[in-house]
Amino acid sequence: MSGRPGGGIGRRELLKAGAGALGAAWMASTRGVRGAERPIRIGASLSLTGRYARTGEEQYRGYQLWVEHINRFGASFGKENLPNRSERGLLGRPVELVVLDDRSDPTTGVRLYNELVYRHGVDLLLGPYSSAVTNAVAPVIEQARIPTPNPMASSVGIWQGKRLRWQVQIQPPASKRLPGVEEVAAQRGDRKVAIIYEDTEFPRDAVRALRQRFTRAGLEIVLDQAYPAQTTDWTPIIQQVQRSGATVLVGGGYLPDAVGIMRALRSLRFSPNIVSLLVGVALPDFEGTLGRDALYATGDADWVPWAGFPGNRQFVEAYREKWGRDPEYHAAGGYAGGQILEEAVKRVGRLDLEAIRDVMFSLDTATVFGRYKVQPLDSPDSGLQVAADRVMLQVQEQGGRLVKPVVYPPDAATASWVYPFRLA
Amino acid sequence: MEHLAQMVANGLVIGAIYALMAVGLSLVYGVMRVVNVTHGDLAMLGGYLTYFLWEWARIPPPASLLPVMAVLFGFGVLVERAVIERVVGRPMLASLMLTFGLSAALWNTAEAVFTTKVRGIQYWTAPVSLGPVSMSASYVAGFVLAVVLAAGLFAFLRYSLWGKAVRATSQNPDVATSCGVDTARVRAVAFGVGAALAAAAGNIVAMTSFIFPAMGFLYLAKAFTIVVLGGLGSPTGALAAAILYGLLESVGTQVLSPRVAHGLPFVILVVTLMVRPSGLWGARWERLAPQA
Repeated sequence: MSGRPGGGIGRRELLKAGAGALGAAWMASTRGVRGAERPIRIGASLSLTGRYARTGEEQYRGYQLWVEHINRFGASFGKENLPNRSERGLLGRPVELVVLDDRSDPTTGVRLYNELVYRHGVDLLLGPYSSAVTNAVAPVIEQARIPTPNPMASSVGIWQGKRLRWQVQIQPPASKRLPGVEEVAAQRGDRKVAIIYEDTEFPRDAVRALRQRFTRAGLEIVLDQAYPAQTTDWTPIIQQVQRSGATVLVGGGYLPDAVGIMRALRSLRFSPNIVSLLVGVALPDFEGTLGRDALYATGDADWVPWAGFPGNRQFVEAYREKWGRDPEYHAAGGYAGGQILEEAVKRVGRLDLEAIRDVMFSLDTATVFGRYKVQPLDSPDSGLQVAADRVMLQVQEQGGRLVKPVVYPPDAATASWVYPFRLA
Repeated sequence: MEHLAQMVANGLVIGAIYALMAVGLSLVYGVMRVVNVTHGDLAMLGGYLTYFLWEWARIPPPASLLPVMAVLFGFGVLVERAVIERVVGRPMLASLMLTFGLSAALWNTAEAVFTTKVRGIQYWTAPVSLGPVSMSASYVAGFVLAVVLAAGLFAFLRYSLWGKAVRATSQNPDVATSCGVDTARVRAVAFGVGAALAAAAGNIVAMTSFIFPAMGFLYLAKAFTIVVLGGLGSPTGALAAAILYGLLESVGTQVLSPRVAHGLPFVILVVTLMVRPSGLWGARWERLAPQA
């Protein structure tokens, strides 16, 4: 079915060759007419409806902005100095985005990537939203042999041991959650850690790496407790943490968990030295719901608008101008996905998929979203992100306002880590 | 000992909030034989009403409790009259499908109108100490309000004319009708009271925890277990089972594990249904109200 039989020319090759010849003849006939070049078509399916709709839409905006900048300036922000830059578009050809809606459903995603490749005949691909959809469509992309940057899939399992040859991860992997927490705890003399987490895929994944990091840093995990996703009151769990004697509390799951845990801490008047929670703290709704009770909680973010990566400032401005508010990290990630494709294509200088793939796997670069470098081709975890890091934020008060400066890593910090955590 | 006191206190507070949810659900089932899947969504609406009264008019949740209940009572009566009444006396599946559809419509509309944002009210969050127990003042307030409301409901059922009519309809609608009770109106009132109690739970949850459009189902699942455990259609049973549920959740989380604690009520439910199929407190009611 793949059209790649062991020898000879398959039907698909023949069709391709025919189409190519026709295309070349057509190109020749229109050569010299500006803007009449056949566009480079880049396909993606995104979660534009369904449960991931809001974040999927944000990623879509990132893709759209990247295409807009490529078509207008011939380069995206921060990628102005690459070889083979043309005045407009990519390699002088306009870029066209073909986006389909997978309704946040992995099965639909699989169907749509098949459609993009075999019906729409796109030249290049960009990844979908979420680890779930990315994981589901990975085999389709491998079979289609089209280089694909995946901006919004943090799950390590998609790449680990899979030897993927056509897809790279851009988001910092889930194993790198809550950066610096073990380092700060060890430096300050904390000995005992409590890990509590929602019993679902993502928190489990994040906590697995945290355990190793704490143990390596010489801390003792005195409580390691999963709780069901149906939890509506965290008081009993926090009371358990209190009884365990832990001075470091990490974990959670999503925003409701973070809010519930903070409320329970306050209700029980319990203040460990460090409170670091997944996902929730980085979102504006966290302090929106908790007010000053949110103070001194730490949590990580994939990206913040004030991060100093090349082109990031202009990207944020362009986004603000177009949509009237600050972008979220999904948009920056989407833009970065386009940038990786852009850099690989320009460095190759022609639409040679295999060569583009090779460059994509060997790049050591930065996007508006952060550092980028993946495990090399033909290694067991090929394509897994190794350079990207998250930043740790802490809710602090400045001039009567709640702010969330970066407190880790030190070279990106905009304020120092307030230690110990205390109840407002 | 301190920890035990804290555990029990937590359990009682959580149980009291669950009781508000469950008692209303049980009442509606008792009177109408309708499994009301929208019950959790009515709590959600109560929570949002409380939230916006706080956000726009700075009316604190304890003060907005009665107005919110009144609004949801009206909404409940309206919904009963317009829709639910049509499936009373029909097979259980009809009412189940109807209220399930209504529930989906309610929370999806809520998602569109309120967005999926998580919201909560910062009111009385400072902890107070009661002997060895520490607890946010909002929890204590929630507990007191829940107890007062439950007592109010039982007084209403026992002493008021409407309450007696509700009990009569619950025990035997045909006899109630023949005694001159307008059972259709009683059903509307009972549904309204159920909605008002759910709204009260939502009001308290908005203050002690947080609200979001899909929250209804989380609480509904617990309320269902409580109602069946207590005995279908028995508000007293629901009250007792809710307190038991709260204690199991709090003590079980710490003595066993959170995962086991959430399964514990179901284990007890299965055992109860095997030994006493009408639920812990359901026997007397069921004997009086034989259902086809």
